[in-house]
Amino acid sequence: MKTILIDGRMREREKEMLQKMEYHLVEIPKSTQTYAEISSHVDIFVCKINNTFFSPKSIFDTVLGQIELLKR
Amino acid sequence: MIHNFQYTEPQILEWIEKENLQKIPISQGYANCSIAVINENSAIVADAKIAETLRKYKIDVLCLDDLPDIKLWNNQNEYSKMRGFIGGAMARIEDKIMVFGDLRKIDKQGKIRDFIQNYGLELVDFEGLDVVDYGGIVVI
Repeated sequence: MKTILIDGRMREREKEMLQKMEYHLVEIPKSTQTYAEISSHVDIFVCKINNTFFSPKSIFDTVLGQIELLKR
Repeated sequence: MIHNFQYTEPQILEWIEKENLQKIPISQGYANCSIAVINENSAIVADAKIAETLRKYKIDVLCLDDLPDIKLWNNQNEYSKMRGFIGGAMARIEDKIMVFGDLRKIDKQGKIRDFIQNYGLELVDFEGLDVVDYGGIVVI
């Protein structure tokens, strides 16, 4: 199954559509390090360049590191 | 790679150099949220300066005339007074563009729909829902 990172505040209808497209959803949790509006925005915490991912250690430890494909 | 390189994290900057990626500098800080990437050579923006820069690099750009009504959530899970960005409110997934909400709410003239469909991509949106900026999605 393919995996997709989403904002933890995404609405159910949108999540259901992504699941119907056979994606496993991984939610970015709210952070206190930013202002509320962007506190779980995917593009604030994760940057993908070709097949390499960049993220703060806190997000790697709690989110990305739990994804089988990204374990190292 | 499109960014305000004054603020790019050094490790990422190093990676960009290592990968020999073309750098397109813009002055807007939230590059990803500001640019809805349709494919490698086309994008939708709501900022005329970004549009002008991208066009210099031969990128086909739809620049929206008005700032679209895109929502952001606040801490109480209500709409913030701040406005969201187009790039964070839609995402490319395989051969689809998913809009996080009802496209008609921000595209009364159908310009966004036409632009996307001209590239042969399928549009997925959600009838009745306000359009929300989630900072896009990242496919693993």
